[in-house]
Amino acid sequence: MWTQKLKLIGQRFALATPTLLGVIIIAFALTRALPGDPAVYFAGITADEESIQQIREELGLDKSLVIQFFVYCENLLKGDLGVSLSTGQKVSEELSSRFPASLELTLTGLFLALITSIPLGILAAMYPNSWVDHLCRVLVTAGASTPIFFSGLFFVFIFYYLLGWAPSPIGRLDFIYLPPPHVTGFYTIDSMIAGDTETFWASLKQIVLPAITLAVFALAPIARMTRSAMLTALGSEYVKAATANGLNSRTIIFVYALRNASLPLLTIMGLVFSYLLGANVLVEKVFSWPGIGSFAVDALVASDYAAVQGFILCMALLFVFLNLFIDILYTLVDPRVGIDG
Amino acid sequence: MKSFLEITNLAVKFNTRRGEVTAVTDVNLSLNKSDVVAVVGESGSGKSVTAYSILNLLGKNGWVDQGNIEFDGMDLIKAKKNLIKNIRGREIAMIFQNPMSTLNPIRKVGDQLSDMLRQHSQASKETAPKKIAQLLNQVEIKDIDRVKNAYPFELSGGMCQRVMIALALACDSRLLIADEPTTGLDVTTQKSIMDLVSGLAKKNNLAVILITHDLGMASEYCNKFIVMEKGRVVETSDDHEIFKNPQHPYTQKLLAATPAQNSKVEVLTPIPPEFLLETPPEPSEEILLAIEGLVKTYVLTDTKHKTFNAVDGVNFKIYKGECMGLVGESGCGKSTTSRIIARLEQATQGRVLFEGQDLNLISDKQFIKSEFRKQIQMVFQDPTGSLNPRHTVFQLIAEPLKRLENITDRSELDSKVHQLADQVGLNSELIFRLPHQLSGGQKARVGIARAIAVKPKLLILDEPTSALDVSVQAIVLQLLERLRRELGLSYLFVSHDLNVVRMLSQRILVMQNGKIVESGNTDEVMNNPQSEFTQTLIQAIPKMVS
Repeated sequence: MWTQKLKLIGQRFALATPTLLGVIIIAFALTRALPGDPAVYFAGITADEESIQQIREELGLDKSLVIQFFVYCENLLKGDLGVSLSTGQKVSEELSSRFPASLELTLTGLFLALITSIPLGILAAMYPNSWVDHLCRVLVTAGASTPIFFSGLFFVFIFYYLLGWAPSPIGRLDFIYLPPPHVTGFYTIDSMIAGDTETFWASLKQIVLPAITLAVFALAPIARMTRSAMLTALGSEYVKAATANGLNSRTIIFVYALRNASLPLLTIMGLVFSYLLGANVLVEKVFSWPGIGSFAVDALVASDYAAVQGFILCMALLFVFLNLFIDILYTLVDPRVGIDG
Repeated sequence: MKSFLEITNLAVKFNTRRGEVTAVTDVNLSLNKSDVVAVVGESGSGKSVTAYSILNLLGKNGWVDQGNIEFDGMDLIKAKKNLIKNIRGREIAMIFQNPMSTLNPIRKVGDQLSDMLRQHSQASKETAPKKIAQLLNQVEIKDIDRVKNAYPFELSGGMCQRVMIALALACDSRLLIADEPTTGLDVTTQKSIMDLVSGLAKKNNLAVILITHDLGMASEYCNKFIVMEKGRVVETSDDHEIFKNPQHPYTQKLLAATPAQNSKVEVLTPIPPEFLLETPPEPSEEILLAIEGLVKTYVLTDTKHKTFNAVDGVNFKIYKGECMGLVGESGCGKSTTSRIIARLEQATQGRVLFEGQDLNLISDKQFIKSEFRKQIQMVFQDPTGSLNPRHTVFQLIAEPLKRLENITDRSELDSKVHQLADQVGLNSELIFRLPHQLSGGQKARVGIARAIAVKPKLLILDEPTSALDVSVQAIVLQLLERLRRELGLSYLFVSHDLNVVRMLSQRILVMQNGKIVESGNTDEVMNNPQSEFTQTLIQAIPKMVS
């Protein structure tokens, strides 16, 4: 049984390799297809034809695409993602310094979404057509039908502009605080490690609103899926049998129904997480969050191909590993996986 | 003195989209310790609802509207939720049909048993393993260690039902409600499960309510009988007199429709239909279908290079106008054989000679265009699943006519469909209905009409009545017999039920592990079975005492 599972997990890993290769090729090809000449941009408005040509040679853009690709791959192997044209920094450094900010925001948003939507979905399934069910329906509809930049701006308008409860949406920390010493890259956690409660509260205040914006967006699919998966599980024969056997309702709901319902939930969670990474780009813009999303948008506008390439690669890697993680989790939760397939 | 369980004037109602529906009215039932009561009825008779109301398992939309249920002096209707919860599984236990889906699919069997034991304080974490071993031993499971650590999908249906029984007996409950516990299981498994239940009931002095549609099983294992129809009790009996001398017309109808060792297809209805009273035509000597050395090999995916022969060298012949029965347990290869003949699957080896022509030599593409596609048709097991839910009866019957006969003229199509509907006894007002607006028997008729639409020579019947109630089965069997005689059709009748197959077939094949272990004339096979497997099969059929 266990050797079989390990083999299965190994297979999943092996299957991820061609995906990664494909991503590298696509990231490369896409950025070359972008409109605009990076050399022109880089040289500035006053540059003449000769200096543009010089820059083009410096960047290796005068060589054929195939050679450029091999050079790119070679650099990738060395961990070199190139230099950002707009900031002049190494793309790898740029991304790694901004990545924790995005991850902190996404994970907080997902966490908020999970702790509200799962209980909500369970309760809605247990008491169909009750007020909880209606609340669930309203939230799901609202969450699914509101564009994320709108809900972000809406929250800023209400909670910052009108009520003044939230701090100004200017990034991860107010100017008066210094970022905590780098450990995990998550300001909330790092400030706790440093024992700096003041910075902790400040960073927490900053993250609440964007995280809620993301959570509202993620809540809809998770709550809806929890509800329908729970309804199926609660109506199943094994729950009926467990009830007839007199098991108490807590065991029935958590051990019998929820564990079975968690299988489709896991699948949807993977999807939601990837949606969130996409939605992040907009939220980061609205809240001036210094994450990789806003970095990528700026780079795209500036035809900064090395940065865009790096971003695509980084996101694709994240997607692949996320799916791998969900797959493996699924294998561990459901004993049937891989036996009849 | 009061009985152990006393149900008086029970009425149960359900809230449905069409308003309040009364599922059960005026049901009375009493049973004493060590009674084994059969509640017999067809689908919709309210037999399960009656049983579920005992443990208040009616769900959110159902409730007991009237009447009393008293168990050992306790009023179960007015009982507090907590009391009911303690009675469930502890005092009154249930087993269900579909044992595979009544166990939690992603929890180990041993853990599920331990949930039960610890819920009712029958064992602590330390003593549970020992108790679980005892319980599994009690239900005659040999390899306890494997079963304990297995998930339900790793066990067979019969094994899962044994585990369910172990769960039900875990807390020494005093009343066992068995709701169609062997539906969907093979006859031999059915026998071993029922023997186990009745043995344990005797040993533990257990009262049992057996809910079943099978009068044979009721007769063999029970000593009290209640017959239900449309939510009412129509007849009760404290002994087997009910089988000899049924009083109510419904009981008589049910008894007649239940296939017994010696019943003939014409007497399945109280009044035999005229067309079956004439002497049947003799099957001709001409061979229609000859199967030679048929092999179907599957490659197992999880273990490399291992193969499995689902059909392993099968030979037989079907004559024109003959019905050939093909009997065996699940997994014996009977369905694969019939699917190969119907050309839904390709044989690995062997010849399928239809009127002398080897069908395996014809490519799939050509086969669809050839005459043979019309001449070999199939009636499927599940009358609901095999009909497109968005097509009307007219469209369903017209489809093969349009595809295979190329009839496009509307009026011609119209008259053909009406004629076919008439032939299978479908009322013409049903012709524009959708499948969900039809009863099971009507759907079966549509399936048959569709199959005979293109005038086939060979009809493959894959368990055509196993999803139907016995009284409907009786009528469908008579219809099939009539069509064979009228149209001179040949049948390959595939079924797990020897008693059903026997009534229609002139000859019978018995399959086991992909091989034919016995073949011969129906009477010979039934009365003087040569192979050991056929003997076990025949013995496993519940016999009605009469």
